[in-house]
Amino acid sequence: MASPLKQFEISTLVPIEVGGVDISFTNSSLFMTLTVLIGGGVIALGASRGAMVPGRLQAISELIYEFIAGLIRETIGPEGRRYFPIIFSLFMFILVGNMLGMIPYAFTFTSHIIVTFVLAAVVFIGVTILGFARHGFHFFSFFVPPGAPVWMWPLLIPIEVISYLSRPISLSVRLFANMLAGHTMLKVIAGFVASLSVFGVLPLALVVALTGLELLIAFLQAYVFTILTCLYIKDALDLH
Amino acid sequence: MTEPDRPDSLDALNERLRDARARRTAGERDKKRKTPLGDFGPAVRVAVDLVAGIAVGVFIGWLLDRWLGTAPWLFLVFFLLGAAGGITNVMRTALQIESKAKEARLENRDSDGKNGTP
Repeated sequence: MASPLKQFEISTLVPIEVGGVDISFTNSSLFMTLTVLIGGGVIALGASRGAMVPGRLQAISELIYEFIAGLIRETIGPEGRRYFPIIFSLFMFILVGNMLGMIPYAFTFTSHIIVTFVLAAVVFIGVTILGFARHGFHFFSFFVPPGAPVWMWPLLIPIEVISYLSRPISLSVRLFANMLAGHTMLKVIAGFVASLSVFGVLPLALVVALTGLELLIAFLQAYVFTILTCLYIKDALDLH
Repeated sequence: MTEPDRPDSLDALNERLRDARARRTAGERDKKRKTPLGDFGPAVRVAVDLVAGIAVGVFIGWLLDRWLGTAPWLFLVFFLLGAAGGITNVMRTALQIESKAKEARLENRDSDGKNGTP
């Protein structure tokens, strides 16, 4: 039986090295490229016709657009429209990446912490810059809990700062851990199918059910990542 | 359809767009769409939030200790601060879920009242 962790191995497809830095085109890069092409393609094709009665692709793009637009309206408010492009792109990238990973033999790049951490870092740094651009040094008042007595500040401010710094960690670890655990579990249980011969029907049924669950999680994690990005943007805009 | 060389048609369109947007925001607030999957989203967030706070605290403490040579004291202090930060995270999420649930309850009661059920 192949190791259940083998699916996460990075393999180099086209070796490239620039100035001693390995920037080879790997299977991970391949699936990220595919994600951008498929995600962008669906939206571009869906938006190109603009028919009154939408076709399949148009219905999909309209559904996703409405979903994200509604999410932004609810969490950030009308002011959030300005941030639609970045939020939408993040959602599409994670969602399509997760879904591509559900195809057998595909590589799930969201199961690598470095990928999800970079995504989370983009959000974190972007939101921090947004906060400073909006409020200048007044942004630091974000770390002072409202209504707390001054003598508590030396204790509360470090806690708030740590809580703020933990955002990119929890954002990236949540996505990565869910994808890693789910795909490993699928592989482990699928391994029993062959080794149990006739009784392999039982793990097979379990794998079918778990695949459904994993599809839900693939969507849910993209959704959670997006809604948290919205909440962080709202925090930076409003400061509490 | 529209004549391309009439500049005020664009203004009119702008106005109509603004109206439509305002209407839409108001309409959304009225019926308050139910978010898909309800509370399942926030629920999966909580556990990682706690661990992330501790991880950041431990990391900062370890770095400061290595830099200032005060091991293991700052590590211990920041471990506790990190745990507090993690719990702060969890509490925020919980309060958020709670307020959302309260809103939903109020809304249900309102709609019940309108339907005339005692």
